[in-house]
Amino acid sequence: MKNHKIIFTGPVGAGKTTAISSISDEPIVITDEMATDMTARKKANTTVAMDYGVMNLDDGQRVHLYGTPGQERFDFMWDILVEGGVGLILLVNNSRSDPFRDLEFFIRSFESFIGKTGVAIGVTRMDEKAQPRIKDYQHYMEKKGWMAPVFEVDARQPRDVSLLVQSLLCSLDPGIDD
Amino acid sequence: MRVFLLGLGEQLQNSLNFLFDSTYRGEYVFVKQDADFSIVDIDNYDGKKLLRDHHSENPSQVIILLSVKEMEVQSDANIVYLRKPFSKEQMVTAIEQASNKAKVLAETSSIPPSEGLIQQDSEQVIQHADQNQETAARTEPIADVAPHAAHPAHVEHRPYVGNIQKATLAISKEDMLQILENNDGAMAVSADEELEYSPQRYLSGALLRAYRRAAKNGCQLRLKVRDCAILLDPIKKQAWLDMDKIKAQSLASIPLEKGWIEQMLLDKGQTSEPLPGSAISIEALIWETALYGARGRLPKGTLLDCPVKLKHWPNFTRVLLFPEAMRISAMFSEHTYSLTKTAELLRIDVRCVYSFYSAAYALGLVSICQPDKTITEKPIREKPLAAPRKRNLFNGILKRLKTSIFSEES
Repeated sequence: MKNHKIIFTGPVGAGKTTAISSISDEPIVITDEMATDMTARKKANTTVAMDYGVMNLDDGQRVHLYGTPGQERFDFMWDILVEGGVGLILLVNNSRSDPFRDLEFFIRSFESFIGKTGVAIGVTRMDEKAQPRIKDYQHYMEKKGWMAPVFEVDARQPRDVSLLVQSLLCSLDPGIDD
Repeated sequence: MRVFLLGLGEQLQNSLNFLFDSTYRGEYVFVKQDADFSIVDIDNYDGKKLLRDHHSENPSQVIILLSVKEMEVQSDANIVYLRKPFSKEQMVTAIEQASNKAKVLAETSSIPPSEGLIQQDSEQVIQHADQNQETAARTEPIADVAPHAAHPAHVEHRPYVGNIQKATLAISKEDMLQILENNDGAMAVSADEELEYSPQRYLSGALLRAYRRAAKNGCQLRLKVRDCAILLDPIKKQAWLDMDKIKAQSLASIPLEKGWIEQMLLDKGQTSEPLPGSAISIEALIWETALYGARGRLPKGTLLDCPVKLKHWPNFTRVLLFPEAMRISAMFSEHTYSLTKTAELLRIDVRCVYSFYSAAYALGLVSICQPDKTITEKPIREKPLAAPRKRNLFNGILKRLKTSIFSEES
């Protein structure tokens, strides 16, 4: 059985856990807080919270959904995590003080991976803070010379998260069936 | 009171710690045994088994049960069910209920309970957990308890609040075909508008003009189209329509006659009486009315064989999604093909491409490169389309995602 992965990243509070839960076929696992009967499998150096979900496809393949630790001090893990990944979902928390800084930071951090695959950007928490608007993100991306789908996303809504992942797939291969 | 936590992730544990500290100041303590009640999260790995094991050891203990999945719990059971995501107030209410139940249990514990009743209680909980885990669709995610606002460590853990305006969902392939074939009851187009149309004659054009006027003046504007009212708010970037969806689609599909439109610009600061119905974003309204106005045609003067460049993807979570729209967006954003070439490469009805172009054109998202001008903007990343070996995988993922959406929308 083949396994694949899609990486979810973004700053703390952007909704990575929530988004993965929205589309995961199995209850999401936070890998450093397994249930007590999993302690035997815990590695000694597993100290970082990392979210994990999975989508089970009809043909038996599994697509693993990994959420990166949002704190920048764990960025050393990101290169390991993205290896072999299909693409990147970047969630940006619109209620943070400088979401453009976050956007730029994560795009630059994953630049190599994005160059080989692709990225789709979801802007979350716009119900809490309406500015900047999606147009502002689009203009920012245009100034930087970046092109990627940018959607308003409520990470609790499976449809929003699903559409974001669909846009990633379409941008990687417009030839897929709609 | 003594409280036992089971199956909770680190974030939720920290949030509860803080909640108890700030709200109850020592009235409750967390213990590993002999608890008065437990708080159990069954959404984590093997949560069902944890719950079953816990129940077998503590059959009469009161439980606050946390899950994203909907559950039915009988009122006389020793269970307080709290569905995620929940607010701080909801958790406080659950704690009070559990505490009260625990006190009643402690008072009546001298009376030997019926073994059958206890057994029934446990079985009920596990049965509900089983049923819900087997049949529940994905709903809301795991969420944190709303923390005390002042605590900096939890400032990122605020739960989502407020109502999210739902996007108009999607058009099926069948509905799209009806629109393209002009079979959905709208008036037939005239001969000179069979292939091209003049957007300014249609509702989308009228809305754009009205919106620009409202935005320029910073005021609300009331539009009357025949006997239907539309209110535009350029500050909130929202519109309200005093008409049902069918009427709106019909109005959007036909050229508007002279005298059908009246505009009234309100004074600055003046707010119109609200119209019935929910607000829709201006962007979503113009996108949708342009789609219905176009009906598979192009704005007059569009060059068919020149490359098209999409400036930005439409915000598909908040505007109407129609078949092939995402693939067309991908083609126009990653590559620069003409309208006809795009349809050819994607092997789709060219009218879908025209519809997309017309809607994107209305929002100012597309540009066409004239024959005498070279394309000065390079695609951001020059890369080939995905290797065919991944196409099956992507199709599988797409199918899995869309199955979920359609079951949710039906």
